[in-house]
Amino acid sequence: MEMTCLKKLSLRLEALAGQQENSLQAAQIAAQAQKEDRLIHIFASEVGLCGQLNSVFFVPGALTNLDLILDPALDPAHGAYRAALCQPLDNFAPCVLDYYEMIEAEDPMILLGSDPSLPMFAQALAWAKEKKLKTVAIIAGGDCAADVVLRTGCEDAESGLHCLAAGALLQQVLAQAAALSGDVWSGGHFVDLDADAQRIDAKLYRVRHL
Amino acid sequence: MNAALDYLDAVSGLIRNIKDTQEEKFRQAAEIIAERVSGGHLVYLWGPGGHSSIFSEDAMYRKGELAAVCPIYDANISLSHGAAREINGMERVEGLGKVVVEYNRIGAGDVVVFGSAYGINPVAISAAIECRNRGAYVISVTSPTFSDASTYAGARHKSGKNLYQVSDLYLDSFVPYGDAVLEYPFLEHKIAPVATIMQAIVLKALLAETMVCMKQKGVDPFTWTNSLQAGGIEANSNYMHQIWGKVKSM
Repeated sequence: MEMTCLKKLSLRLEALAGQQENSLQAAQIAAQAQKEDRLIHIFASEVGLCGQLNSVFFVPGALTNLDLILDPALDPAHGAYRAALCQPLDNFAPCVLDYYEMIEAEDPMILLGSDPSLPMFAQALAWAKEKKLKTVAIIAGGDCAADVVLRTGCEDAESGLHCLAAGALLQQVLAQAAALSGDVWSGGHFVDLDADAQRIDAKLYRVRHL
Repeated sequence: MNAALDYLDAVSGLIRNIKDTQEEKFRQAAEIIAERVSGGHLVYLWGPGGHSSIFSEDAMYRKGELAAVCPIYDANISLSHGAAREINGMERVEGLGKVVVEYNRIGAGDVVVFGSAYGINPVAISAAIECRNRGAYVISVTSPTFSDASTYAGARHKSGKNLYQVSDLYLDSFVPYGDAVLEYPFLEHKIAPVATIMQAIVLKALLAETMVCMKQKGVDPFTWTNSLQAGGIEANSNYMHQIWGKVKSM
């Protein structure tokens, strides 16, 4: 009998335990950046992966210095097919990233992708290394020149599972970083706007999408 | 008959009305903006309505334009994310006005130029009131003739007030009630709206007067260089760094 989606996902998530060491390394980089009040940039190079970013941004318990790279080109609100057409364009990722003026050398950047040889991911990673960022890649598999690499182990045909598994790894890294740095948004279901008013003021003009 | 020439004649006539009646208001508004900008403030520009939003977009990052502006592009109050969504829905969500003002941190000492020819929608009215409550100076570019004649009850702010009535100063764009200006016996309805172009012309004129006013006060207004020309990006970069983050639409 065919394995159900939930069963496959469960097995895939269990297998991610093998990424624990790399996950901790990535978390230490993020936690250190938070302590130094650096921004932690996160870029998803594919439409399916972009959705994973929203769940870690400006929510209770999440690091306060997360800086999402959110571009209309990769947002299905502006056309999923259009985004796919943009994927192979030369020099596209650098144009997206150059717009984020607050990115500074030594900042960490977490890059989500599937196949690291795809143009959008490869160009983004090259850009990040040229800017001397500390790079963390969350990918399906394959060779990758990032400083720390986490792999979901998903096959090409499992893109849906890969998105969920990559999201889980991202959550894991950031949860560990939050535990190490302690500087997180407060609140229950939503950020407590009154309790965090000063923090919001401090970040509003630094974090583009806050 | 030539409808194109008729349209141009109609617009020329409206511009003539503005020239004949608004000179002193241009001077007053420019004085206030120049004073605030010279003191380190940005001037917020917002067209809180579907087509009205074009008003502020045009002033952003273009050659010869005053750079010390913070145009507000709100995704809810824009044609870009669906004309019917905005005009039939979002601009009637009164609370959005306050949200946009809060998000943009408009406060005491700031000056905000609102642009809405119709001047009646709940977002525009509530935002202008909120700005004044916070101590900002509100200038509006609007058409009182249009607002007063408007019978669009369902699209009005609950107070029934118009934008010109909740502003510290307003400039009349002379957009006629109904917006369209050409009428022919063989067409059932009037055609050819003028609101966007009239609103934009008034803003252009106001910012031009503001830059001259700043110079007269001994302050050189920074203006953008065309970034497409050689050295253009470099000429703009220092000022861009100063406002980056603060001007979210940059």
